[in-house]
Amino acid sequence: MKGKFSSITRGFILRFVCVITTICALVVCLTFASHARAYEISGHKWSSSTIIVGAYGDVSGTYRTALQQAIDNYNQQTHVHLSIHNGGPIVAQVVYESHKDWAGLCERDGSQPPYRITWARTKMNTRWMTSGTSVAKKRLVWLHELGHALGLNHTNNASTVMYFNADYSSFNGVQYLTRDDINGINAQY
Amino acid sequence: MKKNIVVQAIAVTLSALICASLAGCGSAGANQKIAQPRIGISQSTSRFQFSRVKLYSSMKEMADDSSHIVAGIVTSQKVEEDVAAPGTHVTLSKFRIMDSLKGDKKAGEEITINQDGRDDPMIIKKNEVVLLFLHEMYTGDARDLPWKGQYSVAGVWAGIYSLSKVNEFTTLSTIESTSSNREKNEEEVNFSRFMISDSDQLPETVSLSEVREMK
Repeated sequence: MKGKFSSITRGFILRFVCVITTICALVVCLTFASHARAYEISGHKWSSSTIIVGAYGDVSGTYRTALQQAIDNYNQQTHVHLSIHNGGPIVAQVVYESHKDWAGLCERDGSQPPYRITWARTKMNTRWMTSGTSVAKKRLVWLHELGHALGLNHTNNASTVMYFNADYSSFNGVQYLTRDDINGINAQY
Repeated sequence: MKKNIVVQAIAVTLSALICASLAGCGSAGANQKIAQPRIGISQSTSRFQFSRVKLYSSMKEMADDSSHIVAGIVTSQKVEEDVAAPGTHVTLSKFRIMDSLKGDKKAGEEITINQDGRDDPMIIKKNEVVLLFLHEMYTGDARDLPWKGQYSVAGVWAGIYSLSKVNEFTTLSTIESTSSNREKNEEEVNFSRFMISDSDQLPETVSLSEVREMK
């Protein structure tokens, strides 16, 4: 009788532990899954994944090198294909903008139905991104602005290109598009 | 006798007219048409996305970073081509200061706010009453000369707070027109975050007196 009871109890405890373990595993999986995706899609995209970037103004020297490296990174890691030619619908400019608190900005259309982006303008501010700023940092800002031009919004994850501030991303070791940034682009194109 | 009555009547009428016009001037601020406050706008509604050079971990940090902190009203605005980047535009807003919390500007003075773009939710609008944390764009560097007399918003959008309640504009008008009870009145005028973003650790609402204490 005693042996039967302890067998039933043992069985119940085992089942209970199994259920609890399964629930915990599910919670952990869901937590990781929600953390895994940081990218934010604006809902606007280009009708084609092949897009031309026109460089205007003083996009020369290290600014040009950084822009080319950013474009190469997109071409190698994502489904989009970017190339530099004058007259492209994505404009890249290097400008001096006095005391404005941005290192780069992007303006894009596509906020109205059918939510297709037909043009975007990106700028890099030489007040903060001086000739002495490293190519790596400039590349990070171009990667960020091109990400906006392609339809990504900011993320809250400082270990991605699309975080609000390039210094934080750089501090966290971000140099090129991260898996999350790539997933964000490839989810659209 | 009849002539005296006429003269007296004219004098009384003139006096009444003068008094009425003076009273009108005195309450001009309170009766001014103001726009409905815009609070908690999502950054994703803007066509513009920025890679910020600085993120603020507190209101104190933003206040320390600002050359000027002012509350007031947008009186007019115009769109111009950006002198730095032909083909792009900036919106220049004339802003009448009603309370100056930091910097060399005084209530009643007008300054120009320079914001990138046009026709965008991120840009302050005519008749909006806002609290602004600003940078003076001309820093003495010759390259900054085209922006002399203009101010940019600290943290692009972070430094804009909208008047929390329309009826607090009356108290703000009192602050502008008189220096008495300033501290008490500043406690009663509250501003709320214009644009919501996780990028900065800023309070949702602040009173003018709280901001004054931070500087």
